[in-house]
Formats: sequence, structure tokens, C-alpha cells
Amino acid sequence: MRRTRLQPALGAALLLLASAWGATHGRRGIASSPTAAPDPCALLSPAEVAAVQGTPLVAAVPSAAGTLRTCLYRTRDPGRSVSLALAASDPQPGLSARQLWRRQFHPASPPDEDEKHAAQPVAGLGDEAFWINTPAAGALYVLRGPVFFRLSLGGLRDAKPRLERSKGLARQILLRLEARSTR
Amino acid sequence: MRLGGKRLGGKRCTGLVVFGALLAGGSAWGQASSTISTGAPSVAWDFQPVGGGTVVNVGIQDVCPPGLCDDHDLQVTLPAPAATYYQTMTAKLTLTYTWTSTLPTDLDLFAISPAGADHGPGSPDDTSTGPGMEVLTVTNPLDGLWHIRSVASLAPLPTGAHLVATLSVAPLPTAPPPPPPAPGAPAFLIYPAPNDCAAGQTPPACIQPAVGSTTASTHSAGEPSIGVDWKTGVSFIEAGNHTLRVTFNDALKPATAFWEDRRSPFSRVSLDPILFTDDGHYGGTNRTFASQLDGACSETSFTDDDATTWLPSQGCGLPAGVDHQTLGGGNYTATAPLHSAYPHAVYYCSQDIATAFCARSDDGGVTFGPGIPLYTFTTINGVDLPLAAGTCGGLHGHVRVAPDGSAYVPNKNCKDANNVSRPGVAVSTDNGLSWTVRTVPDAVALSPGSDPAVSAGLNNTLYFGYANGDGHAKIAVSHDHGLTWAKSKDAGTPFGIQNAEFAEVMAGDDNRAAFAFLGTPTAGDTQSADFLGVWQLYVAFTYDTGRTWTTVNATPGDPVQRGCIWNGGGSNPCRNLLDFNDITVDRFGRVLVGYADGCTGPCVTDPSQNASTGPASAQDALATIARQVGGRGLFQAFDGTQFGTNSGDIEGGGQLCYGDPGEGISGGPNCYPRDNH
Repeated sequence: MRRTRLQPALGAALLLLASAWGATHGRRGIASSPTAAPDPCALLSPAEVAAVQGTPLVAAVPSAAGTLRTCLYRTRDPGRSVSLALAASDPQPGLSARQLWRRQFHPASPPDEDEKHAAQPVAGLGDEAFWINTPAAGALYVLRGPVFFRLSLGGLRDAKPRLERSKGLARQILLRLEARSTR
Repeated sequence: MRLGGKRLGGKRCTGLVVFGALLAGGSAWGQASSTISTGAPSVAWDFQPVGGGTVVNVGIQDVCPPGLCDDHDLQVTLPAPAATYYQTMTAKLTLTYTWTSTLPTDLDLFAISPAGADHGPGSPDDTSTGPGMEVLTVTNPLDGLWHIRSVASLAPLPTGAHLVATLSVAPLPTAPPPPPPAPGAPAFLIYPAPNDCAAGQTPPACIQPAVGSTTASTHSAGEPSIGVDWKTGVSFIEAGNHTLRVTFNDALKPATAFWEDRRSPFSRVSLDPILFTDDGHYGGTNRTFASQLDGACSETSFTDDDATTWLPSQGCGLPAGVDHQTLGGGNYTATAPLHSAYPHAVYYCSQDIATAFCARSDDGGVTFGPGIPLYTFTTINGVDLPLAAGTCGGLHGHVRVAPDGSAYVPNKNCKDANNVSRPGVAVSTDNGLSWTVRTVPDAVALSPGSDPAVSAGLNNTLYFGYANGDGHAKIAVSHDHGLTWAKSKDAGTPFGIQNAEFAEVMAGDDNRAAFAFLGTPTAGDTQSADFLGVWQLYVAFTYDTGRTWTTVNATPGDPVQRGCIWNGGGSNPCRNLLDFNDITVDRFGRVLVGYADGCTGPCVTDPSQNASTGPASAQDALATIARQVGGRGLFQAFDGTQFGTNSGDIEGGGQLCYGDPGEGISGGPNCYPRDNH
């Protein structure tokens, strides 16, 4: 694992934040009932975010954007924050997250040529995964069981490292989702 | 039941088209035909029985397979070609379609126009036992051969039908004369981009394509965006992946425009071009961004020297995967990040899979933070629809930032708390860290339709312009970030506008805003290949916080489009203008509207030309700027100064004709009456 050197004060701040995160988010999220919707702010640790983004986490801010539950992992350098959005198992009555996933990534009728989403399949993540790249904010979509998530990392200019770092964090998220489902 | 289907090129298509066409060409079903005209205005016939089961299909009325559909060809004859005839007359083709059934039955009536437009089914569209009826009315039917089709939607037993067609005509009600320009009303001059320089030609009569380009792409300027550098006064309009730099010379009357192709070397092929100038309105640096979404490599670059040099923004990636991006920027909220390296937040928003997102840049667009979702949507039959209350459909308008740092992304189709689809905005009051959807309560979603637009005045009064569900150009005002709205006003009323497209809004002083839109007084389906409306660019101004609006026709005598304006994406003859226009303001409060002119050359005066049938002059997309030259602008501080020039305007033949009765300012003695206030 690539690890950036941390200043002592920074390391202490990280430790404090990590312990706070564990008390308020992580343990509770992992230990919660498998039927409850996962808390997206409990799926990454401060250390994991800091290691990948090279800047310490200062807050994990939850919000809801429509039917997505989101968490903004705000880093000290705000441009290097991480956004995680989780589609609940039932984003709309009668429409499961898997069904929503299928509609978006496997539509019955292909979109017109100039409107199609160029989703790049990513192997080895969850049940299925796609990478969507944009000039500003690439996003990694991962389906696992009854939920899928969208992970977007800030501050990286090039698509390739953006994807690779996103995959690294996605694996951590999948581990925690897996742990939830086996409890 | 409406039989669905995917529109392509204005016609419903299925894989059965060829098969159906071959069968339809045969005589097994004895294709009957008849003629209707103003001299013989009524005709009747019987359809062959159709049905014998439940039909589940798409586009069946276009294929018209034997047994499920019966065709009757109806020749509609008018005293003159439709485009000419309907300038003074109006007609109505009424098709009354009846049948009798012993089991629950739903037959549908469709009329396919000579231009291939589908009309139908008739009304009521329901299932009945015993007598059944549908009535289909076509206003101003095209002359030529129509295919009138009886289609089985639910018909357990083969069922015949009877049809009576009537054609009624009447003189077109005398349209009220366009309102004379009110004293002090805004006036515009139109600046079309010149053509590429031919051998031996030199600018300014033409435009020299950028180095490495064979064309400046001035005729491929669908969905243009516009910006003005407040420091230098230079304007920009984006034509495809060409950034056109326009320098106005206000020392001459009228002002002249010098056009240059200053294409960014980082703008290669583009499907969605966006230009944004972070102008000096609220302390911007006048940095101009050019963003290109393309199939190979999406790129954004920026310039700080009016497109003399360009620098790349956050990287180019493979492949481009999203749609409908927008760039915007402005102040941070009071809780600005500590480490920003640029005075303004810059937002990049785009449609993603299942969501739309915005990413914020704190370094002037060099790098961006993560993409944060605005809402969730789902795609059904190729259309992105909001999932639930508080969400919106996929496509959105342009991001705008208020002076207090609130960011707004407008959307034509959001669901309010009662799950009713309405235009609305995604609002962020925390520098884009989170977003909430707020809808306009008296607005109705128009689908398909074009994007709404939003802009905030100096004290954060929010102006929201949109094409309403009835097609009208509406604008609403909010004083609390979209939580509540004053009743929407119809800005097209003075001109009897029945259909509007491409709403664009720009606010200035808190009580002033301009609302530009394409409008036509012709009612009807603007998506139909049969639509014969003539579109002009209108700009409405308010100087009293939206209580009243003064609307002017910025392009009198020079239509922007004849015929349909296609909102459905994909390819269609009427998609020449693509998805939007743009509006901005210079530092003197002068409004500039960037638009693609779809009707140029002979189309301007030839009413028989139409976007759906061509020729090319009726399907153009010429980069054009409508520049305000008279009336009050958006900043009171410059009222009466002729936008800072103090040199008169063209209407006054060089006199100081900037009179403004609202401000008690009179024009010179030799001004034309309309300017001599």
C-alpha cells in the first residue's frame, strides 16, 4: 500500500479522528442489522481516505440527494475529498437497487449514438462494476448484493490513477458491506 | 392505449418497417384512397376488420401489418401550399372513427402526415364494449398524401370501423399587431458570424479558421454558449469546438463586430460544447473556460488572455461517459474553504449514470473535487425520469451561482413533495457539498422540452425562466433560495406566444433581469414534422423584481427557425439548434444573447422553407449574437449612458438617443420618435 509520510501533528489529528469515527460511525455501521440500509459514512475509515488521497480527513458529512444516501469524506485539502453515494436496497417502492442498476447499465433499448453512456466495465469488483469518466470527476459504480454505490475521488488530473485509487477504496467498502451481510 | 416507439428522424421505426412496407404495398387489403379538399370537404369510408388478439408492439401504426392495421390513403388538397395557405387561413381536419364490438375493444386511429409525423390516437382512447368512438383533429393539416390507419390495440375479435373525415377552413384571425416598442424599451442588433474566408478574402468580412482547422464552424453552432470579459469587453461564443472571439467597435454606429476563431488546441471533436466566462460580475477573474464532451477524450481548457493562449484543465480521460455538462462559477458562501487558490468556486456538473453530479474546483478549474450527486433518476424507454419526490430527471440546465454563493442547477422535470412533475432547481447553500431539489409550484413539466434557466440578482433574488407544460414562456421569482416562489408570469403574452424553447435568464441589479427565449405564436405540437410555426428570439426585461416584464422581439423579420424544434435528442431534421442558447451581460448592463440561427439566407423570406424538410438554409445553426443597443440594461448605474459609450445609438442616427423615461432622461432633439423621449 502506498503510504504518504505524515507530519506528527497530522498523524495525531488522524488518530483522533479515527477514534471518533470508530465510535460514532464505523463500529455502529458494521454491527448494525443487515436489513438496515448501510451508512455510507461508515464504509471508509479516515486512515483509508488519507492514505489514498494524501491529505487527512476532517469530517465525514452525510446527506441525502434524492434517493441516494451520500457521504462526503472531507479532507483538509477540500479538492481531494471523496464522495460516496449509496443506492438503498429499495430506492423507490417497486424498484430495487439492482433493478435500477439494470435499467441504467443494461437498458432494454440502446440509447442513441450521441447519448449513450460510455461505461467502462471494471473486472473483479463486486457483482459488477463500471467506470464513468468525465473531465472533472470520474466515478466508479459497484453493484454488490442488494445495493450499489458510486465512488468519486477529487483532485486527480488523470483518469488512470483516479480509477486505480477508486478501486482501492471500493475494495474496502465491499469488505465492510460483506461484513455487514454476514452478521 | 398509445402504442409507443422510439422516434428516429421524426418517424417511428421498428425492425418491421421493410417487411410492413412490402406487405402494405400489396393489394390484399385493398388500400383504399380518397381525396378531401376545400371544395369537397367531407369524405367517409369503412376500414377492414382488424384485431383478433391483444397487441403488444411498438410503432405498429407505422408498420401497419395486415390483420392488425388497415390503411386508407387520404389526399388533402389545399388551394395553396400549406406554408403559404396557413399564413392567412386556418384549417381543421376532423376524423370521426366509430366501431361496434361485442367484447371489450380498443381500436386506435392514427394519421401519418405527408412529412411522416404521427398524429393520434384519437380521443377518447379507452376500451369499450358496444359502440366505440375516437375523434382525431389535426389543425392546419399539410397538403399531400396522408395515411389514415385503423389499429387494433385490444380487439379480441376482428373489428371493422367507419370513418368520416371533414375539412373545415376559416380565415386566420387577424393577429394583433406587434406592440410598438414602449418608450425606453430595450432594442437589439443582430450580429451573425461571417462565413469562412475564401481564397483572397480577408477578415472582417469573413472569419479565418483557426490554425489547423479547415472551418471556423460558424454554421455548426447548435447549443452555443456566450461570455464577456468585463475587463476588455471582448465577447465569446462557442460554435461546436470552436471558440469564436468577437470584438465590438462601439466607436462606429452601429457598432461593428470583428470575429476570430480562437479555438483551444485542447478542444477536439465535441458532442457537447460549453463555454463559461467567470466574468467580473461578482469579482470574477474573467477567465474563460471551453469544455468539450466528446466520444474519445473529454477536455476542458481555460484562457486568461481572451483566448490567445489556452491551458488544460483537469485531465482528459477515456472514454467520455456522461452527458449535458455545464460549467459555472461564482462566490463561495460565508463558509468558504480555507485553501482556495482562486477567488471563485467553479462548478462542473453533468449527467452521470443514475444521477447528476457537480464537482467543485477551488483552483480556478485546474483540478476538481469529487462529483457529488444532486439527485437520482432512472431511465425508462430511453428517457431519464425522476425516481421519487425530491428528485429530477437526468438532463439539467446550466449551473449558476448567486452572489451569496448559493449554487443552482435548473431542471425541467423534478418531482415535488406530492410526486407531481414540475420544473425546479437543485440548490446548494454549502458550496456544493450537498444539494436539495426545490420545485416551482405553479409550473408544469413539459416533456419533451428544453432546459429551464436560473440567475440571481445582486441581493440574491432568484429568477427562474422555463417553458411551461402549455408551451408558454414563464418566469418565476424567489427571494428565499427557491423555497417559495411568486406566481409565474407569462413573458410571451404581448406577442401571443404559444410555444417557447431555450429559456435563458440573466439577472443584474436585484430588481432587474432579462429572460430570452425562442417563441412562436403558433400553437400545436412543436415536435411534429408538420409544425409550421415561425420562431423569433424574444427578450423580456423586468426592472421591478419580476412584477412586470417588457418583452421585445429581438429578431423582427428574421426568423430563427421555421417549423419544429426537436427536443428528443438523437438525430432529427429539426434538431439543428440542439439543446439551448445562452445569455450574458457586460459590465455596463448590456444584455447579449448567443443563439444559433436556424433560418438563414433564402429561408428568411421564403415561408415554404421548413426545418423538417429543408433545404439547408432552414436547417442552419449559425452562431449569432443579439446585442442590446437601446433601452435600459441590467444595471441602473448605467441608465442613460448608452451602455457606457455616451455616444448615442443607431436608431438616433448618431444622436444621444438613450432616453429613459423611467429615469427621467431625455434623448436628443434629432432622435427618431421612438428614441426621442
